[in-house]
Amino acid sequence: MNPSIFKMRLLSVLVFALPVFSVSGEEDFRQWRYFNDADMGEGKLLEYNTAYPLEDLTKEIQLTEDRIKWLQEQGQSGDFVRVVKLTLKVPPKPKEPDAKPDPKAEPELVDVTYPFAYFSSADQEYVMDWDWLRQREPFFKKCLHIVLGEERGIRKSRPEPEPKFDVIYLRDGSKKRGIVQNTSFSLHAKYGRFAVSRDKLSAVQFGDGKGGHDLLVGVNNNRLSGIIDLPADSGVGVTANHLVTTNESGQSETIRKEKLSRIIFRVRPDELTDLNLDGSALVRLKNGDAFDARVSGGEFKIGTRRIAAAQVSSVEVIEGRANLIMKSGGKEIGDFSEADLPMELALGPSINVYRAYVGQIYCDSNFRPVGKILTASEPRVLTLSFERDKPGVLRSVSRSSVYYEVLEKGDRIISIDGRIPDFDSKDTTYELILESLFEDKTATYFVLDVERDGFTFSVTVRATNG
Amino acid sequence: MNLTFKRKLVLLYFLLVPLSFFAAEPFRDWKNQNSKFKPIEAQLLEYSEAFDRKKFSKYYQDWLEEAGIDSDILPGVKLRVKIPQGRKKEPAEERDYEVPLAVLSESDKDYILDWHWLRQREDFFRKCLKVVLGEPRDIRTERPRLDDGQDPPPLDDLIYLRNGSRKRGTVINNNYSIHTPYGEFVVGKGRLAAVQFEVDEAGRSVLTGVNSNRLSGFLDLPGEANVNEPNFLVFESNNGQESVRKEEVSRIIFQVREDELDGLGTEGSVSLRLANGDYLDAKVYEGELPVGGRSVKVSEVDRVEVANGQASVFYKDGGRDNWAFAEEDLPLALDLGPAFSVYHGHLKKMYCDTAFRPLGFLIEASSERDVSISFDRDAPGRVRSPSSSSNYYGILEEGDKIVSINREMPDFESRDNSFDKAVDDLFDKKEPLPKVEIGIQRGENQFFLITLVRKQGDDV
Repeated sequence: MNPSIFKMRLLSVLVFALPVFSVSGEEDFRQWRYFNDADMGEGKLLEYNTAYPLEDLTKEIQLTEDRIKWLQEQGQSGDFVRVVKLTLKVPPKPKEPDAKPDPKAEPELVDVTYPFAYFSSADQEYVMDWDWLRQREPFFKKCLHIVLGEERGIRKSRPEPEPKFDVIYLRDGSKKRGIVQNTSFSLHAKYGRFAVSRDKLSAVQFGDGKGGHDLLVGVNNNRLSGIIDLPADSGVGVTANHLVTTNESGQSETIRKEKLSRIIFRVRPDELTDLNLDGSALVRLKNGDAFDARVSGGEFKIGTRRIAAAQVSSVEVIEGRANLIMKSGGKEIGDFSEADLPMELALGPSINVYRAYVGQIYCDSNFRPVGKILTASEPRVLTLSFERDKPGVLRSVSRSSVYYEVLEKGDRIISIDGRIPDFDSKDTTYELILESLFEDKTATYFVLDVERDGFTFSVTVRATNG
Repeated sequence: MNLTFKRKLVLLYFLLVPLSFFAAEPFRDWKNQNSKFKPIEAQLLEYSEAFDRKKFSKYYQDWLEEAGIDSDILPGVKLRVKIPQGRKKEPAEERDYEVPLAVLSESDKDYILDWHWLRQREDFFRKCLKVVLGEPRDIRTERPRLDDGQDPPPLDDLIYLRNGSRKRGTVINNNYSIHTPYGEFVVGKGRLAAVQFEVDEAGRSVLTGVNSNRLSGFLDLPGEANVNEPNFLVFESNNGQESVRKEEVSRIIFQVREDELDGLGTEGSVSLRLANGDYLDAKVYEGELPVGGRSVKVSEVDRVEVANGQASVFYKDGGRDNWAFAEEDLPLALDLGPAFSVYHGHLKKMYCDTAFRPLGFLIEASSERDVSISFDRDAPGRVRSPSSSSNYYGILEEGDKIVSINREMPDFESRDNSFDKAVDDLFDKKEPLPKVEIGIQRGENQFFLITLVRKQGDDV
């Protein structure tokens, strides 16, 4: 089997298998041991913290200078230490100082915080696995695995921190691995100029070199197009219009912006946590850009009225007029009273979007379409035929298909709902997604990412009620 | 109606060119303001708006005083007057006189001002860009009147809005900031012939310089104190001052300004063609190209072709070198004003010969047949689908419309239409045209240029 296909499958299996390990419930009591194999007693794991203030810890347990020195020898230097918080079963203290403990007495439950290094190797592994699954399960569920047709670097097992790499594609066809040092990417879009933090990006596509077709892809799959500049960043040794990366051996490399074709950022554990998504709507612009944003003040100003975004299902701008579909089922039509709509992007920056640029605004958080939206009432009109020898590559698209004039012969489906699709199995990912849409009705829409001539685009297919 | 106007413009232009004002004027009758005086036969030699009063004869000085004109410097003409001899058959004597303009009749004044206007303007008319993006720029086609010393009425810029309407007025915004893939800079209004706003879905705009340079990218209208808020276009029209959002503007065609071409295309200026399709005239820093560890004088180079960071330098003496650029960025000063450094990866070609400034797509042809275009019979200038063997294949599309030929409005209704005539002239055996520039309109908002040249070595 092709190793890359095997890798893809492994990833798919892992992604689907992981949610089985539910770790949101309480941990059981178990026996714990010290690093020197001494018995610590029965305890229940409560918390694992990789950066606990040493100052706080010294207030909770006795930490002599020798012990601090020992911790340092274990790699725990600085003001923060890794700790494990347990609820330990402790035999009750006898009432008399000289009395022997009563083995039959009900133990007391005491919460303790110990340095991670105090624990035996087996217990350390246990803690790490627990933390990994607890932290990673929701992350795996949410996070975007495929961007621009490329797999993002996801840590698939629970090793100690190791560098995962961003992948940098150059225009000459070569590929580099490294950690991008530039902390932000600046975009001049037709609707404004702003910078997005690297940590909120999953990919950067440098367009055709003609300008205007560069693309920032957010970790939330937001797409923002325009001319990208790489601002100077003296703090990390970046000069304007240069990308600086560090490789495995810590050496840094500087690359001219014009030589870059694409960057696929590694998946970072915290990348989805800081998104400003509360109360946000999905804004789709007429030029194909789409982003999650909060409408300033949480309301639409239509004529002299103010309509709370929370009451609106969607807004479509038709011939310059705003058509609001209300959650109550009603419809309101009017003109935006402001020429520019102030918006706060979930990716950080605040922008003003000229009203004529807006296509649709979806306030319903359950519908986040990407690219062209197609609707289908039955699976028949969504049938696709693939080349036998090339998984995911389309043969001609029939006139009766909803994909007609959207997809073309030779297009390759590179992801379905942000996952690498499996076209080798009897039940391909595509067939499974159609099932979930029309038979199981567990989904209401899906998103295909399609590659054509080296460029990618997306199509959202939504089920209608017939 | 519009066509008639355009035709008039073309006609006027063609009529103007044969009138060479460097040839001597014919003798004609001149009348005094006082109609009682007999006309004199004279030839106009010179006109000046600033004649020294003392140069006039005592007769005219007295006349001026009597007329209440007391300025020391005033408009006047130099005439060669025929002075009849006693007998009619004897040849008249010719003498030169300085005459105050005020002395002459109104019709003679008009004659002088026309003569002066055309003599001053002929060169300007020849050089300047008359049609841009398929629209004639507002050129003053009549002489300026000097009514009571008042300024002539202002010319109009044309402002096209996205709603299909068109406004006339004078644009006030002075600065146009463009962010291109190769740099970001500001071009002054005085150097612009046209602006196309958001020509594609990506939102790119195009600035067209008075020298036909093309700069494309994201356009901003920076705020200027007492002029405009950012991203508003402000112009003065008959209705007073109007202000329009940038997003509502589709196009601006600027009026032709008398000094707009001053200082352009001077010695050392090269024509750069960039990978994104833009073309710019610029001066290379210190007139030298840093290539292959040495500097080459631009004046010695015919052209440079750039591919994969390698520069093929073709010298005027026929020699050739292949080198890498010594520096990543080439410092330039655009003829249109701004100075910046362009990364060599953006460069495609550089023409150092000032006589060769191709615009848009460049098509080299060996014969007239190579560049023939088939037009729609019912729609003049409308292109039919080019065949796959045509030089225009991949450039022109069915429905494209030719809106200018050599920067003039084309005439497709005559038997010998402008296009056929231009191609004929390109391959004329006696006086071949060096190139033919064709302006193309595609759809509502897209314009581009094609330059036709004879293939090198195929000189007629």
